[in-house]
Amino acid sequence: MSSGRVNALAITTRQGHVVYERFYDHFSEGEKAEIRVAFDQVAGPSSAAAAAVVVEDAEIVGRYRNGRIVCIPSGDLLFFALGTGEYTELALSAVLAAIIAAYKEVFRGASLTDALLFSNYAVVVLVVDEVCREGLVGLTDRLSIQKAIAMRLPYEPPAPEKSKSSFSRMLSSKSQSVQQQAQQPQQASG
Amino acid sequence: MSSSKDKAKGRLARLVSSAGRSPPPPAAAPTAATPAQVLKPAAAPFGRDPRLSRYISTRAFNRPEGVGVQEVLRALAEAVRSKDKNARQQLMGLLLRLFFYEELPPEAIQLLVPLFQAQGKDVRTLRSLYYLASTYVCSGSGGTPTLYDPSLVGKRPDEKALQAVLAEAWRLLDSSGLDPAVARSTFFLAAAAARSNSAARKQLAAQVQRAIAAADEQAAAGGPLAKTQRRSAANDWDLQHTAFATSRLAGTANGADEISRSFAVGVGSGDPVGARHALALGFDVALRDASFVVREMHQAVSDAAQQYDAGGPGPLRTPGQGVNLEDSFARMHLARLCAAVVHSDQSATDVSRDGAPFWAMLCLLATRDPVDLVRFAAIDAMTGVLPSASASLGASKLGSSTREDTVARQRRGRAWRLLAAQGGQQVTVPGAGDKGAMKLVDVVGRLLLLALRKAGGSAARFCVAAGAVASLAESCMASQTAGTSRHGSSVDVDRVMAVLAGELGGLVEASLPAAQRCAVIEALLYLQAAGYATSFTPTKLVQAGGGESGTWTGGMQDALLTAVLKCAKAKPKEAATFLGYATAVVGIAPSGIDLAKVTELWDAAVAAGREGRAAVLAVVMDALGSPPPPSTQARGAGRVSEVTRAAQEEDGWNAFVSTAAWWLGENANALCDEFCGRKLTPTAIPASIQAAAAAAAASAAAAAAAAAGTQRAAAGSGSDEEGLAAALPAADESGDDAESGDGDGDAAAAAAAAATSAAELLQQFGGRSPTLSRIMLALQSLMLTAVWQLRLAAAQALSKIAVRSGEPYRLQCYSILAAACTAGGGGGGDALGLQSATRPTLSLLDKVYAAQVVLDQLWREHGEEVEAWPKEVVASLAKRNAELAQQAGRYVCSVPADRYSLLGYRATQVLATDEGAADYSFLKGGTEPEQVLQVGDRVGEQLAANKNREVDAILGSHASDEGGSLSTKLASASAFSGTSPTLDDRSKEIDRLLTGGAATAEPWGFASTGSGFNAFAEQTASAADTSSAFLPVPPTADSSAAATPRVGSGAARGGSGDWGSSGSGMPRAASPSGSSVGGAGWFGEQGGGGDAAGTRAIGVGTVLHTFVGDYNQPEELSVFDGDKVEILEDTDGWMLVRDPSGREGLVPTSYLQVDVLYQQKLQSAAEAEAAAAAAAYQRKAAGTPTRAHRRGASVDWGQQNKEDLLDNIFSSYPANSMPSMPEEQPASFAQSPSFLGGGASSSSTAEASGAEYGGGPGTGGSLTPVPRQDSFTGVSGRTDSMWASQPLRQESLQRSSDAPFAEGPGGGATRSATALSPSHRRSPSGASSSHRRTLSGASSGGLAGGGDPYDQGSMPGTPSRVEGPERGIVAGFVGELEGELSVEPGERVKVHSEVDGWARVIRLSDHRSGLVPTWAVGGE
Repeated sequence: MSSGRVNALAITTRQGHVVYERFYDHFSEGEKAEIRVAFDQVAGPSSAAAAAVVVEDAEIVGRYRNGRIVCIPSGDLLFFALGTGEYTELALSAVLAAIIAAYKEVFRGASLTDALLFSNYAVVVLVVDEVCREGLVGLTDRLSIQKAIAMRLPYEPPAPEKSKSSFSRMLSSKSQSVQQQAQQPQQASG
Repeated sequence: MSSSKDKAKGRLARLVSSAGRSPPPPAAAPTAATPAQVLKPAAAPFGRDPRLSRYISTRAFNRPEGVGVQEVLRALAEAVRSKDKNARQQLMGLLLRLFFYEELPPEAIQLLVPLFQAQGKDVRTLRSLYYLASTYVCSGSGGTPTLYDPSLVGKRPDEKALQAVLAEAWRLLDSSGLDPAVARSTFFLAAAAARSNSAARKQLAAQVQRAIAAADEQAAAGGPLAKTQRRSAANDWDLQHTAFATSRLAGTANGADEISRSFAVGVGSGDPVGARHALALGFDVALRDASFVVREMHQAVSDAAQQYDAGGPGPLRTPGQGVNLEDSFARMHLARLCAAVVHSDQSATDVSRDGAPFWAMLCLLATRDPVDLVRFAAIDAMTGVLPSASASLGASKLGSSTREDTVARQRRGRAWRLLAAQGGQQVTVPGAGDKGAMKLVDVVGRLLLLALRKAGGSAARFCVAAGAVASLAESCMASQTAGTSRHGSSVDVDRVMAVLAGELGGLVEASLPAAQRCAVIEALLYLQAAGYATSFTPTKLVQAGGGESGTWTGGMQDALLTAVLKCAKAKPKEAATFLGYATAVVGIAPSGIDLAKVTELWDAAVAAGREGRAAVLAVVMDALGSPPPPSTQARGAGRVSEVTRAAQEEDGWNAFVSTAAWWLGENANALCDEFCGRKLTPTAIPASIQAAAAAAAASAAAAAAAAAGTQRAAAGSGSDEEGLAAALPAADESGDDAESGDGDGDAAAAAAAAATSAAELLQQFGGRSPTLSRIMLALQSLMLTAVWQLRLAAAQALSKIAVRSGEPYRLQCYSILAAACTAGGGGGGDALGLQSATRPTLSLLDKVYAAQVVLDQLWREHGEEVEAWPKEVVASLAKRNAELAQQAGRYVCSVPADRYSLLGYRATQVLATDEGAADYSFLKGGTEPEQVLQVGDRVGEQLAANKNREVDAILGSHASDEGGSLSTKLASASAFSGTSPTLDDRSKEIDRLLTGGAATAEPWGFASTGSGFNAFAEQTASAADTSSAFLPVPPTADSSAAATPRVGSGAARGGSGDWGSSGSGMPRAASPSGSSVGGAGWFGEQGGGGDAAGTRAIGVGTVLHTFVGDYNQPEELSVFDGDKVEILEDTDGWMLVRDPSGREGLVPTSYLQVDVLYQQKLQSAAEAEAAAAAAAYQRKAAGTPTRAHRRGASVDWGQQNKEDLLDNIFSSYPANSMPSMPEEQPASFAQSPSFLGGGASSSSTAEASGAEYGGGPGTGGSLTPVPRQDSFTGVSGRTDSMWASQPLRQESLQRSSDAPFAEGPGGGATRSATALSPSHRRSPSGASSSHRRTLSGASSGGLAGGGDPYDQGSMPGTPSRVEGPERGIVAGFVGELEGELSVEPGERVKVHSEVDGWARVIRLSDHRSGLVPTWAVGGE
């Protein structure tokens, strides 16, 4: 039973160039184009004057079919999300806010620009992947996201005791364990 | 180069080694230039090469020329193979490049999958691999838009690659001691793949189960780590997170599966995100089985509520107890779960008992949660709305009344009643109000109000709040309408709702962005439906939409339309108002609206019931007449963009209005319950009227006066004739209301005496409603006044109504259409530009009327005992009926036999006796069962037989000729019997009928209908001849023939235009002519032509360019370049050709290359003309160029035999090559102008015909019909002409055997002959184009002088050869134009007719005929 999904996420420049976009459903090229147009319409005219009017971090809302669109401008970029069902404007706004917050923290507060994103594309992409996984909201706090990108479990239960149990050691010293894991299959195959 | 390479490598190496660092160093841009240089481009191993857009290439790669994925893949392959450490270090950078591509070719995945194993130690590379693989195998895509590549469109993940990924995933999951983080990533990867793969979903569910079992097993096993308690699946939050999230991501959770139902173990997870997934699954379970959730969660929710009440949301103090409320999305899911429980209809969920903690939790979340997302989600959940209702992205469906809808409505109703009941409950809101205690609804109302008032704050919050208000109102509405429970409300709730409605009512006039305004309007609509907002009107809606509030998107209008429909359904009494809102919604931005949605809305409203129907009708007719909305006018000082936008909107509005007209045309009959051929049952006469009638019975005079009308009305005005008769009370007792018994008649008469007017009676007993008339008037008004697009739509709609309605509506439509057709007066022709729509309709109606005349006569002939009718007659009627229906279906609209009977009720009665008749079960349906003949038990057979017949007709196969229908045989028999003196019985009957027909025809004003009868066909002919009855200048005795054609063909021309008129009458005329053995007329010529017809190809040509014939010009033949065709006739600009498949038609000369021309071989021009005429005739006779009559492809019996017959005739009169064809052209031209003189004439004609209909109904109908009939034949592609021509043939046969006769169908024959020629011959008057694609009215108008007088003398059977004065030529004349005859002084001619200084003569020496000036002809 589905309660809705985020159907699409996009990061564009204020001029409308797509920096990154992610569709979570199988859309045809035509539908993708329609969604991009809908995003554009929500953002309004892409002229610089109009773009300047858009207040930083204030959502703009719109609709596409029965889905809701939220756009949050940040820096030189516009963040879009299209969602249905339980992903109302507020939920989409929360998702986008999580992404933007993660970027800002990861990039140490720099104003977001396309150049910044392009030069950190892996992070950009993987943050979106962690925050919104397959159209469902995933991790929303920066620490969890960073951990997840580094292939560590974001939630580590408080150790029953501060001492080094082998289990907690294994969990916390991720690099070692990952290496061990990686070696195993190699051995298996080799 | 090498230095840059090294530099790049160094950076790559740093990138790869910096796995743990954050942020990672820029990777893509610096490496941009490397791969192509570093790696030798190998032969492309991959097929497709998606490329990045210029923007990305430039900004991210600094390579404006673009970067193709193949390049990256090659480099990647190289790096994988390379043993070089540096090259391997490039791997991460190369993988990163792949991130930019929206889609990857399958080869990429095949390249990536092995890397999972190889790169296992490198977490960043591994993470990248997981990302790339998951975006590839999931349903969506990620990256930047790659340049359009058709091969990528709609491309699903390659199955092989998908399986490879899945295999790798299963392998990883099966490996022991897998790191939990890697395991989670692997599960997520598998989930992404499983979303679009059901087999994978099953496997994935099994893997999750195994993971859980393994964890349990490990915990139970204990072992060396036993001193720290191993986590089992029940308290391994990471594992739970993985399992629940995987379940949700893959879509395997449905609320009933095992994972979902174990959600309760995870709600207290120490991992807030894990708890969120558990709660989300719990919501699904609660929807299915609330009792289960109550059992599982009662304690946890109680604990959570206590904790929340005490300290608000926060981290869980003791993981595993209560519910982890740290995450806001988790709280949102919890609110939904609680709502699902308390709104369930299960008794365990009573909020005063087991459901209490859930309700308390819900209230806490709604009133005290610090996060908007949770608060408004909780309020929304309180209204009973389910997020799953709008879960999938798509246009919301209107008009579905599924079980889910009903269930949802009931749930909403319960939610509303619960809120109304509990709304007064005190809740504590710290810091708000006195002592923090307030009523629940007040808190909710204040929150919503606050969100709405702070419109400048968060747009998202505003929209969600407005949505919540809408949802509240919708629940109220649902409570009012749904289910058996009583609607309940409370003062508190009403007060809050009123305040909210007031706030929104003010907001709608404020300046808001479009989306917010849309949300406000949506809420207002629901509020109004629920009875709270009363000041909102469609006008306000239009004003609200008209402001410069940004772009209204289709989605917003869709939402409003959906709201409108829901409201209209819920409040049928106010449906008209709400549907009016729909029009207003369209008016906001007509260009963006999905018109299908609007019609869907109307359809749904119609389906909703009687009120809905009335409302829709009102609204649609209103839409027809309403002026364009403000949005279609340019705002601002004429800025270009504004003007453009306004133009688009205007176009959209026109599309909307024409859609409305279309919809009305399509549905008017059903809405008004008016079906042609349906006989309405008189409703029971009310007692009061009966009493009054009894009292009034004494008044014999009054009764007598009213008798006629009443009788008709009572007898059922459903059938065409009667309806018409009733509508036109004066003239005619056509004798067809005989169905009403005497008793009925008396009663009705008595009742009528008491009633005030016939109209009332009609209304009262006949069940007629004026609605259809109003619709027609609205359409007529549109047709006359609007822009062309709308005019056409209105004309089409009227056409449909005309075809599908009984009288008097059909006649009314007919006159409207005919008037429109000729509007513009004097030769201007089609001023409204509607002929493309009206011609086929008028033509069809003409035929229908003609057939009704025949039917009428048959009715008199055979009486009311339809069972006793000769089978042949019934069969021919059935055939005719089927043909008409088919033509209607092809050119106007479908006329399903189970609802409509084109020919009226009596036809259905007759046809019901026919084994092959269609299913007229609708007769039984509601109308007058006692009058329905027993058809029920034969319906199946009838259907089958009818189908066969139709198939025969369509295929026009030989089989129908040989194996043929009885009628076919009869026809042929009669045809041949005509030539041979031995007449079989049937022929005798025909004889009898012919004579009888002539007698009965008298009242119609045609002197000589010889139309005998073979069933119907002749009747049409007679009707054609008799059309004079309706002439504006009625038939003077001697010139009746002349007048007749004028009206007849003129009408035809007006109605059906060039092809119509030209083709029209042709076959019919031809057949009589052919049959007019003794006579010359142009018949003889036809005979001569018959010879020519045998070898009528005058050349052979090759098609140079493919020519696609105009759909509206059936005479045109579509040919393909390279086709070898036979040229049958060459006139200027067009050639009549026969293509390799035998089809004949016109092709522009310029498209053909003439290879061989035989024409020179022809003896004379006359012969050529005759050949052409014959060819033309045959084409016409064949009904359409698409038929090869030679092959006997015959639609009906008539046709087949006619052609055979004509061939015989042609061959038997080879000597009589009377080249009359051309000469008759002037006549045909002459006819049209007289008719086309003005719209009034045609309409008046039609009306006149209507007026006369009762008495000489046939005439009225047949007037125009005749010529058109054949013209229509031409269109239809099947030879309807048979209908008419068959009888003519027989008649002519008879005549041929009999002595020449002075009068007869000859008029018609001649007329039709004349009608033929203009189509592709040069007219004598110099009309330049022979084949006119458009109505020939204009050109023919110019030729008025030619005059039909030619027709006068040309009596059919024994044409000019023997009649007319013989005179000598006194002055030589050299004919210049076609049709003129060169004569020398002293030659003897017979003058066929004279008009306007020209005489049509036949030279006795060689029997050639033509036009000569009268001055050249001496006296007698």
